[in-house]
Amino acid sequence: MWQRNGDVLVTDLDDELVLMHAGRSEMFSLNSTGRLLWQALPATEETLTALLATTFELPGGQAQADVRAVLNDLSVRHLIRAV
Amino acid sequence: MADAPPTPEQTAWPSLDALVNCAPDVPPTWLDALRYDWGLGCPAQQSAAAARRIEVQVGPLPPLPSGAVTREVALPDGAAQAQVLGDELWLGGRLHVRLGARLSVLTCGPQGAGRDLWALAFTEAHRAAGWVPLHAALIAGQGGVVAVTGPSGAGKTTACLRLRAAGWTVLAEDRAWIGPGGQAAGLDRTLRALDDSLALFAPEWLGGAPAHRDGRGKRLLPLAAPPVSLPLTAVLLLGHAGALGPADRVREFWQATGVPLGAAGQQAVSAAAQRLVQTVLWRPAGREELLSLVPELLGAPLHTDSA
Repeated sequence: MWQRNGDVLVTDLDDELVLMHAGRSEMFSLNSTGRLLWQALPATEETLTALLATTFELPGGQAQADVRAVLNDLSVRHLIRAV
Repeated sequence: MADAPPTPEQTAWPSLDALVNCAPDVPPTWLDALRYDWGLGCPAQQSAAAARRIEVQVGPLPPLPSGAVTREVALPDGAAQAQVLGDELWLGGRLHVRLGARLSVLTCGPQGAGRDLWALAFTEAHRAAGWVPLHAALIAGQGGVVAVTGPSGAGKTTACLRLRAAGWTVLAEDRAWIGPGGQAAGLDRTLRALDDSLALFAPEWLGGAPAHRDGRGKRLLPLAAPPVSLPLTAVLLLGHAGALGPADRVREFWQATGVPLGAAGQQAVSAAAQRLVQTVLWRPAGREELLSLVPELLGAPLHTDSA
């Protein structure tokens, strides 16, 4: 299960999200795919994969790879954490 | 001989749209320094002043709870440690701040606190009520206010001098504040400039009475507050190449304002980021371009003189 770090400030620009890690003063932008996944948190990787596959009509393997890439980007920046 | 008791003007004064109340045992030297740095009001918000208060008192700081998170905070003359737990802050071991949208209480230990720590405390108190500080100059005209921001050395002060010489009202040199309703206010009392800059851009201010100067030898030119509150209409970025997309505007916003420590301030300033990047014009501007851009954005100056 993944959840948002409570220390993150979010600016929603409709087609993208800008995340500011308050403790680290670092910013990170999410495109529409990342925005969809962020807004679905907290969720498991499986739930996020199904959501992405359904929303964008992607094959399961590609959706899973995309979800893992986004989760990895977010977790190394301390924007989300596994619980 | 005992010191004279502080006057009501020393102990109660407006700061933006808040009323600051200082306890009777706050030393007079602290009162004067705090009022000088923070005692400027926002004209259209007088009726709201009583609705929001900042209390300043002297006393022991509450004990630090185990759940507080330690943050390193950059200050103009160094760094300080802050401990944060929700809307409670312990600053440099000298100040405790309890934040709220309607009431913030600032408690200072008897040993006192440096100007930078007090600045952090007042900044957090205003942020908790939805005010956003911007490291920017503010230029006012009949059409509202533009903020001019950019990295140090980009030319904000020179822009202020040139625009002031052209009749525009400078509200702030670098301590700009934007209220929750979009109103712009400055907390600078003076514009600071070296004589060399004045000789180039505003030679008429070199004469007259002996100048007041800051520690770096800069001449202090008094700034006049406008009689009415004016809305922020644009943010102009000096030293920024290329167009600004929405995400760029968010980045510039956070760079100009910094990240609040307190939870209420973080939520309020985050909401302001969303609002300001979508409702206010953000665009890069060159130093020379400012002189034509400001009239284009603001119409006519507020006054016919150059105050």
